[in-house]
Amino acid sequence: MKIALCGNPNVGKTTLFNRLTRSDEPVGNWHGVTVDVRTKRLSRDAYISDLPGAYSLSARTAEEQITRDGVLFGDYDVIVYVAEANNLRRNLYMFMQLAELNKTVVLAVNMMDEARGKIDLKLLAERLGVPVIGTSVRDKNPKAAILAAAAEALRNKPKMPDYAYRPQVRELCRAINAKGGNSGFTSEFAALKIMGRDEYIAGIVGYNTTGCKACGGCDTDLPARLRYEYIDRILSGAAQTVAVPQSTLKIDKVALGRLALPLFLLVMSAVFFVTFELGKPISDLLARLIERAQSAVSLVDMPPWLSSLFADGIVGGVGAVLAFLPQVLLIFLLTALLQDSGYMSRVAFLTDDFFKKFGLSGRAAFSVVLGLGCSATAVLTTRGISGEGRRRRAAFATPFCPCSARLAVFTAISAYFSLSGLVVAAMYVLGFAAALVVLKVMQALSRGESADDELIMEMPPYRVPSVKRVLGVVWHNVLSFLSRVGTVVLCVSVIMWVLCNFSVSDGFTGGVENSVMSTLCSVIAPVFAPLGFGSWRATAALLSGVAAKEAVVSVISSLGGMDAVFGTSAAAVSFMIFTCLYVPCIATLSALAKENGLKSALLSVGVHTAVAYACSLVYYQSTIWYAANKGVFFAVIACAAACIVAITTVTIVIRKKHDGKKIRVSNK
Amino acid sequence: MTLFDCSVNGSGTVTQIGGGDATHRRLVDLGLLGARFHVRARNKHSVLVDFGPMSCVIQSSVAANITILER
Repeated sequence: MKIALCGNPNVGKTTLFNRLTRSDEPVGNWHGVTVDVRTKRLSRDAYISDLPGAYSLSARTAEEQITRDGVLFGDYDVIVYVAEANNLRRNLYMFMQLAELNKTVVLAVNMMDEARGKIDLKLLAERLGVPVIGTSVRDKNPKAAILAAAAEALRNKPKMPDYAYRPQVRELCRAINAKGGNSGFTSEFAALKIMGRDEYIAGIVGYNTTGCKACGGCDTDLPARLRYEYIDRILSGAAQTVAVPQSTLKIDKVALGRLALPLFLLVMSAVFFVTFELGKPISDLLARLIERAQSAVSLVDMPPWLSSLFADGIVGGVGAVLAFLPQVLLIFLLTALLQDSGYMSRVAFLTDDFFKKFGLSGRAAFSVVLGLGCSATAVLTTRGISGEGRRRRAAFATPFCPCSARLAVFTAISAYFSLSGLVVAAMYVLGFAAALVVLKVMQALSRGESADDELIMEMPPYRVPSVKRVLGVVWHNVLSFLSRVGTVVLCVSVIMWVLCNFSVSDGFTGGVENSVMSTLCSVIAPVFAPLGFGSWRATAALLSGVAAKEAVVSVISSLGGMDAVFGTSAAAVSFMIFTCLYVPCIATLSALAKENGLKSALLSVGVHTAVAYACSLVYYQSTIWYAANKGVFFAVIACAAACIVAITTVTIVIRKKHDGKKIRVSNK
Repeated sequence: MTLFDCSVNGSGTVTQIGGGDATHRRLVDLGLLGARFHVRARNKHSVLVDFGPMSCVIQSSVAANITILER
């Protein structure tokens, strides 16, 4: 049996899917987290698929198209429609479309533990003609209930809603049937879609929606009104009407009021403070333990090359990344708490004005926050942004935001050179600033597209973060980080060890000088000399970062440590800037190629490298000037600042004059 | 009067929904036609509105196409 889970966004489909299949697919307290279909085995005879959220079978975004096509053309035996207990009226809209399609459906009313009014599931089942079950994260695993309901649903199809028998609908059904052909839909579903001027369905049925005589220029809102009137009759006496919780209204008075922006900055500062300052002592402890493990391994009696491979290549290389697991874990935990509480949706609202200046909307804030964990995931979530141009720009710019892997590099370097936590924070600011500049340039180059993406975003109520859900999210992210360390970083560490300890002529040398890696990277290294890290070791570390950014730390460790790679702290900071901005990892490039095409991914390689090179060059050369002649340095900075102020002032004056002319013309 | 013109804490009923085809259909599919509303917050480009248990952030360009009857 093939089962599909579908429903509106943010109703708990993926959480339910994870419970049923004992998986850990990503979840979040906002819509747009699930962007692809995932299928897992549910039982010996059943598979279950998790479809992205959709409000109806009229798709606006790429993820809604996936759900629409899955429902219309997929070979699912049963659809388990998940509805939110506190929003049944709106949730049942798409359910009605499934009933019009005569699909085999089970209704799962989810989040019953958070229901603010009484719901009579039995009465709902009687009126809808389908099995109805109540589910919540606090109940035991609903697998048995869902399988039983699915088996029952196979014996009884849902009741065709009574509005499908209205004269206008019947007349159009006859016209559709007379055309013949096999669209795969019921004539009732097709008729209602055509009445609503759904060109996609009309095209499949072979119907022209412009000036069709059967409709006689009918009211295109009629199908929606009929559905909601029917839903209201179904719910009357079966589900209490509820409002937005008072607690949410009270909190939003502060969170969205005059103190909104200071509160947001405070929250983000607290996230970074906790991550860097509290994670550091634990990270230092882990680093010492790894050093002891390295020493212990090197004492074991085995051939020198094998001892070096285990101690330096594997334990040293992988361990160097694992030492920063505390910071990575903390940032996952804090962002998961913010997500689950519902605050991140408020962040999207608060930042909407800001992102508008760059041609996006507050919806992009979700991708940015997810990008703090993993750039590849963040790129994939841009699929939920409506507007092809906006979606592509968001996907292109998102990898500039530093991910958790880059955090490992920043913290490793800043810890060694005793740099302030502000330096690491500055890397984040630099990454975001680079993303905004790239967005601005792309916006200027894209013509004829309005800044509004007509976002209609649902705002969930606040809730106390669930320990189970938060830990589930953290576990999923940490597992993903560890699996990258255990696979890609391990492979890169071993490969780097081989390249750094073997030479072409002498075999195992036990040292990096005259190794294959030193020969290869020495050719490229001079390119980075103006940036302060023109050694082959730094080049080797950067190359390894293309596979996975965490590998940069392990390669530096295996190549003799920070002192051997960087001569000065200025060179190390320049390297941090370059790592912050240069080529995304292979996983992110793959995601970008998937979303935007191969050309975009290759362009991203070029743009990232160019931006990284420029920023590192400016920084490092500035430090040289400053050290050599402070007077000249400050004079140049003052001139540059004066130029920027002058250009900005002229731009503002010109814009005001232009706006003034526009107002005078419009008043005439 | 449109939803865009409504101030914070204003409330009323949606009487008409305009806009492009896709946006119009989405708003109608969400059940906003004839729905009672309350404006909870607003910024320069969007407005946060409560429609019963459902809260939506609606872009100003969309809100300007939603005709309301304010209470």
